[in-house]
Amino acid sequence: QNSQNEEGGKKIFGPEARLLFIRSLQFTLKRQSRWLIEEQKLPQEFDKLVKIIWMKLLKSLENDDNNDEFGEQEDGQTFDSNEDQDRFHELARRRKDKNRYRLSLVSTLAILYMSSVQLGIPIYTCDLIKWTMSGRLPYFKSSEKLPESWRVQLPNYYLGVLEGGKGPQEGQLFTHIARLCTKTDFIKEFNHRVNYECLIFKLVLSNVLPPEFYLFAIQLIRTTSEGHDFELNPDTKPQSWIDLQITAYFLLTIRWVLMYDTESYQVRWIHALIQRQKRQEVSTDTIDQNILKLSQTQKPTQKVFEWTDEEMAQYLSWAEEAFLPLQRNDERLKIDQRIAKRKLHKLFPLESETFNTTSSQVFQSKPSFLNELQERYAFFQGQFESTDHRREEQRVEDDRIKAINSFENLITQELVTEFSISLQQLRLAIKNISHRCFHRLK
Amino acid sequence: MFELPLVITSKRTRTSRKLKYQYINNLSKKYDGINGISNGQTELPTPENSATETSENEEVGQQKRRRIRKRLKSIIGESYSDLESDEEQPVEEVDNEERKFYRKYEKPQLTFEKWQCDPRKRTPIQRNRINYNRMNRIQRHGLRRMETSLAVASRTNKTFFHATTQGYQLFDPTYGRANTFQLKHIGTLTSLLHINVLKRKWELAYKCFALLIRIPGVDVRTLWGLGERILAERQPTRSLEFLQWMSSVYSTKLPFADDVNYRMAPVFTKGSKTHTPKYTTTWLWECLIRYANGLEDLEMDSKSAAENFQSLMDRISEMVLGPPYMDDPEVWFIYALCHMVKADTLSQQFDPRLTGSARDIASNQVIQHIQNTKSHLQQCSSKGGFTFPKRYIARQLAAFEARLYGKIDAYDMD
Amino acid sequence: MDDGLLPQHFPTGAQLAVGVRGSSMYVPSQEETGKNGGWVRHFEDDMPFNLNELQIGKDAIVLDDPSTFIVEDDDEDGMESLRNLQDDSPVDDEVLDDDNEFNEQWKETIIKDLRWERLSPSIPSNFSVFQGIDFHKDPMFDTRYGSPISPQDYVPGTLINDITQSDYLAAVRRKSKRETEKLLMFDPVVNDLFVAGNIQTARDLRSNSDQQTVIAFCSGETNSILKLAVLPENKLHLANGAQWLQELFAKNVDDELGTFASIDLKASIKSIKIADVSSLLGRCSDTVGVLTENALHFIKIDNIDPQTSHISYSMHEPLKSTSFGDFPFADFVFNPWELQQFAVVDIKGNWGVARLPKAIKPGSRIRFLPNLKGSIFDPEELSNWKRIEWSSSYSKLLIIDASKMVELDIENDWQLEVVQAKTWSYLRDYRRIDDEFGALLTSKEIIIVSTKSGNEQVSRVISWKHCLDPTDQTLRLSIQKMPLGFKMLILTCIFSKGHDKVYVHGFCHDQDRHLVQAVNGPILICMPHVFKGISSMHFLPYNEEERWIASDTQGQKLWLNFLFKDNSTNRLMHCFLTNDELSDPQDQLFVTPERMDAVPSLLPPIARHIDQVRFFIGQTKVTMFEEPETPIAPDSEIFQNFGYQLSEAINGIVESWENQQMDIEQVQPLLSDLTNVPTKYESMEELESLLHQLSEYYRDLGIVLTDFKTISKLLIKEETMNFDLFFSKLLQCWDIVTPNSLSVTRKVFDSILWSILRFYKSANYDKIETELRESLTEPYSEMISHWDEDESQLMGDQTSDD
Ligand SMILES: [Mg+2]
Repeated sequence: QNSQNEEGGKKIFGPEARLLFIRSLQFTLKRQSRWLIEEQKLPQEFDKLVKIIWMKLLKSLENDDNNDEFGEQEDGQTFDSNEDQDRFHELARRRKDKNRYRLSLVSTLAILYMSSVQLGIPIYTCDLIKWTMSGRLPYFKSSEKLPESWRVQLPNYYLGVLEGGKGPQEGQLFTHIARLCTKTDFIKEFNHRVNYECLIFKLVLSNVLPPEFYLFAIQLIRTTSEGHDFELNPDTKPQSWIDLQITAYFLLTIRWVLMYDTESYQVRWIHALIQRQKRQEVSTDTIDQNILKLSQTQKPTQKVFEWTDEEMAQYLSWAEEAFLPLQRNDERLKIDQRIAKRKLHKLFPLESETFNTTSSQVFQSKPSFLNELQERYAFFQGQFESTDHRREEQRVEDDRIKAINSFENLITQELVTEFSISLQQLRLAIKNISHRCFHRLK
Repeated sequence: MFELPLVITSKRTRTSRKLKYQYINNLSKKYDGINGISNGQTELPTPENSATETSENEEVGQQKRRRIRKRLKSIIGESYSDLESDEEQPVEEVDNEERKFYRKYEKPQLTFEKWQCDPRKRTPIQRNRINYNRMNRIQRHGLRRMETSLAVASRTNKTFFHATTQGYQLFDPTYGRANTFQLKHIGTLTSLLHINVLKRKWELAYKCFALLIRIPGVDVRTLWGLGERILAERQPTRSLEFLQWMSSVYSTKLPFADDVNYRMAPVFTKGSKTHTPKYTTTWLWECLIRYANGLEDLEMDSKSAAENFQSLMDRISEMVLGPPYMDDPEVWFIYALCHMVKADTLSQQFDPRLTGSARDIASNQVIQHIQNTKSHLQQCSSKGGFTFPKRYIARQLAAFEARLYGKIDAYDMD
Repeated sequence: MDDGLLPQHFPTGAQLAVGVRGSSMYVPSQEETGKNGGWVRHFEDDMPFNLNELQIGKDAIVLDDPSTFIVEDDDEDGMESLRNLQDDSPVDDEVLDDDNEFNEQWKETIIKDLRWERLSPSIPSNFSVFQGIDFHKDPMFDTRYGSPISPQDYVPGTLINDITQSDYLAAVRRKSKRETEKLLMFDPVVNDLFVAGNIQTARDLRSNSDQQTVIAFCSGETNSILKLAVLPENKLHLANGAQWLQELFAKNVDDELGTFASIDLKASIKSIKIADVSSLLGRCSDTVGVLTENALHFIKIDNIDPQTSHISYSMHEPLKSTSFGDFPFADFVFNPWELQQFAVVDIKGNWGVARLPKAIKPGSRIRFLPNLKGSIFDPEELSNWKRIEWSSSYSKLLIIDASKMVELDIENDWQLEVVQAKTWSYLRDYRRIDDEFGALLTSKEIIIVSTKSGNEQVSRVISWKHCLDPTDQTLRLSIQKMPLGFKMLILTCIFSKGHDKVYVHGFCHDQDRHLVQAVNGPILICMPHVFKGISSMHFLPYNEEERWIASDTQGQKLWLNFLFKDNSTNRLMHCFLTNDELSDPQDQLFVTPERMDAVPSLLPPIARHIDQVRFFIGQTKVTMFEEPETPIAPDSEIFQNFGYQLSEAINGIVESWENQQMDIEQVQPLLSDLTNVPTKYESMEELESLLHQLSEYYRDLGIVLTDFKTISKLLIKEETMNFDLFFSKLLQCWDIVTPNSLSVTRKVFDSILWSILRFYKSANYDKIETELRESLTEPYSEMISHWDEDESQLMGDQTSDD
């Protein structure tokens, strides 16, 4: 903070600063696109599309430039620096007058999503959020990865925006997508139909459900919706968010199937589903999922307390391989300070050799996603078969509803985290979809 | 649920603090006005407060002096303590209201609170009770000057302000805190560190600690005790090395600037001209006890425990030549104990069959250590503020001396 | 002044923390025993008893549940759906349905979205609107269930006004967007809501009977009912007290038996106390003091029936706070040396000493003692939190607020601000341990202070830095002492309203009270059944203090029973700490998921649409599991047809691209949109090879078909080129959980496959990109020119630029 005060002379302000900020976003967007191509094996054209949509956005900024004001800032972002504060206040007040689109790191995620939709690649908001929150996709602390000269020049409030804050919260990503759809004329010009099949498929797998649930859901969707129902739209209301609609269909399917197919799914079957396996050996994907869950809880300490040693070791390995690299060595340190720091680090070396507990060995051989999935299915089936058949007969309707409710609640809680939405928002989407279904099933 | 090892300042908390202190200062001014305490002299000029009573002009002067001091410091070559500089800064020069409040109070270095044990500071019981009318007057006054600040404050801050001024407290400690990705994970790592230390899972705790100290902004001075404990369990030699590192990197001979709003209390975390840091005394104690017990494993260097012990004594003898150690009774006491341990071992090893000069040399050695113990204890007592079992030590010293003369009478050891 | 056994700073005392063990004393070697020199330390590793062995019981039992509690109090419509389902006759009444929805809506607004916890009463699950009753739509006419007063801490009207009038409600209304952050405030005056202490009635004294342990706790939906019961002495320290406690409290329901005295005080209870009498007095108190919203009540226990444990009591005239001054009371305390005397402090720091009349007769009143009044008012101290305690002698009082502790002597007329916490820390709680020690909790440390009458002043003896969040204003302390071997162990437990963890640290002192040490610790325990945090916690009294067992306690099994209250449900619960082995509760084969009853559904009720849904499910199921029809034609024929039609379609589109201006929208068509895709075929490999051939063919034309590898990486996190492989991996998962897995998996696979296969012409994107780039003007055109620069190159460029 303070050295920035001293270097204050180098900071730039006004439109110039805003341009540099946009350029920084572009820089980050490019890094994200490269990460997706390298790590997720997306085709090279993906980068081209990201660029096209980005240019569409720049084009719209050109138009805005006439009545320009600057200061992009997400709600809820924090400014950890005290300078520029009054200035920011001023801007904030001015900004409130106009409901203009505010660029932030969430915009970059929105662009990635839109590019995937255009290309028909099954990447959904939950995927982007998972990669973001687990520190894999370049997002958090992207201010620190900028060229040094930019960092020096950028005003602190822009640096704050580029820090990433909490990450997208409560459906922010969806509203950004909706807004960007307007800005970039996405609806008019691009392929904006979202592939619902693959999302349902992912949801079925992650909830260890048998394949017929996929078919039920697809059937329900096909009977009750029309082609344009899964098209991206500029509406910012939760009931219009496509990923949420698909999710709502999924939840509705589960409820209805479990409710009315009493033959195939006994109450003890539902109970077995609820008993999710607490696994020690998990795939990278599950670890990322766990990190996401952790970042989304209000009180991480509560969760952490219940962790097993393995889970702790997993988290710590994640912190070493994904979180620590995001940190940047403080270049402002003087040489003697750096020597002192180095000496401290030498006293506490982080070599993995020194960490030779069994848990770390477990961690080194992570099972693949499919191996884990197969075991989860096997565990579920085992759980189901081990329960007492005779108890089933004594059950009343009430037990069934209770079981369904708690299963549904379990999934709901997970979905809320995975999509980074509020329960309220999910509820609205479900309400909307179920009304649609009732209406169209007649 | 645990304290984060870094200073968090978010816009929201800053504003809410500003509002609170503005209000508090208003209240207290009005209250003093009602009670006829003249303006400007809110505090009675007690000896320890007079130093902190600085007029506006003097404050500017002090800041200047501080800058000069800092420059001097780097010239003198004491710059290794500059790791501190990123924190040595006043919290926010802008937050005048908070500064105004803090300036009124003495900032203790030894404890978190100021503890008063001097019966001479007693005053007659304050009989005047506060009543509703008076309270209301004060509160109205307090609020009147807040209108503009409150008008521009956010809703959250307003609610926070109203709740606080009504005597309520906030339920959720994380409320209003910037719960960013970064802070959440630092928080998680901190919790894991504490949990694993409590559960004695040293390997996991070690990794948490090693990760935390590599995150910029995390201040090792808030965590060193945990680090020491973890190393003491894993690699005892290293723990002493770590304490030594703390003592050398974070030592300062500068006075504690009382007019600065530090975010971090000096107790446990730093030293000054008048305050020996806790990590330094801890380091000395741990060295003394381990060397005395011959516990030090010798894998690191081939020095024997005796050599280590001697080098410790040499080090202390150098330390007590300058501040803050020369005025610290505890350091003198440790020094005295070094000699006492020496006297004990030497008198134990004393061979009564020795004769002549060999006997004189051996007994003189013991006598010398006993003398040193006594004189260092004398020094310790003269600095004040430190208590120790005087009579017990005296009895023990007498017992050591007696060993030299073969009179192994029954000394009651209780 | 007597020197302690250990060296230490004065008045700082020993300051310990993890890794900080304080100063030590050398114990020289002893030739006789051949012992080498050793050390006595402030931090005692070698206690006869190891704190780390303490475990918390696996479960807690609920003793008293003052209200019907719903975990998520914001899920009303779930209950609705349950009811509707049970209701067999489908109600096809549009109007009623709308009504319901309307009611739901405002109920929602009022109850759930006001994020106060239970500021409004929770609507019971059996609440329903009856058909045919003229139901007023005005929310004003809604019947509020049961409680006239909210069980919540009092919140001043101005504050509520402020919140409701500002944009708070507006924010609630646009609930679709964001959940407003929860504003969580609490009244810091609320202290112990239950207490277990020793009572000795006048009759007991006359008949020379021992004291009895009485538990006093608040109950009722509004926390306004005080309940009293006797805990049988002989059962206090049973290995597992859970069962008899549960039985005891179960009797509570049966009023005829009269085990529990129940007193409605008609105002929310804020604090309950039983006098902690000095051991010098050799007797116990017979009075329970209760602080409510507006008055102090004293209940004198007249008699406890030795057979039935029936408590007969009489009450003093309540002491209204108005009789003391203008502000409500914040705390009160009994004089440990004089049972009839007590002291109060109000929320502003005014204090006074009063006396209970000897006998409760009409007209006998509690009177404040003249001249024994004063104030520690501090305009800078905003919080209402105050504590008052007796110090080392009958004339010395401690009065505490968040930023100071004042000791005063009412007889010798002096006061002294012993602690001033204005800078680095705040005071959070204070507990009297006995006549000589007290425990002070600050935002940073637990400090054992000495209040020895020999000392001039209260002073620090030993402290432990707890490292808990210093901004947590709800930290409170609970202590328990018990003799262990030659030492007295003092357990200090820190709990919070913010979480379910209890931080336990131990101290101990020897019989002479010269050597005070910290024991090896601390430990962190997690309280069962706590949803938000803990509002009060107390150990059951350990009545063996006088019998100081000077024996080896190695291996002694301890059972420390304690009660606690969860602050969201207000339930009184029992649990225990033990170093004994805990028997695992038998693992049932069938474990009912936790809290299942409390979970309502998120989904709207199906109600009158039941038949449609049922029909749909049945219908779908039939088609799903029907055996795959044998293909009408051999694969070769199907694929030949398909391949032909597909390439025709593709050619058409490619041609159209050349001829006219195309939108990006059409650049990437889905194969399944172009022609009928084969669904009934046998060989996946055939299909794959067909697609492969097509892809090869069109590649030369610059046209790319979706790479299945990419998609499979996204779907199952690994690249599988091969359809068959992908399929069989899925089958491995699903084979175990579904009948007909082969055909069903095949259906899923087909559906997925045709949803992703697309083709595009790479050059098209280039064209669009070029056009767009050219249309951009400065400064954006310059900016976009950097897009394809390598990251490292950019880094290099930039540094050289400046
Ligand atoms: Mg204060």
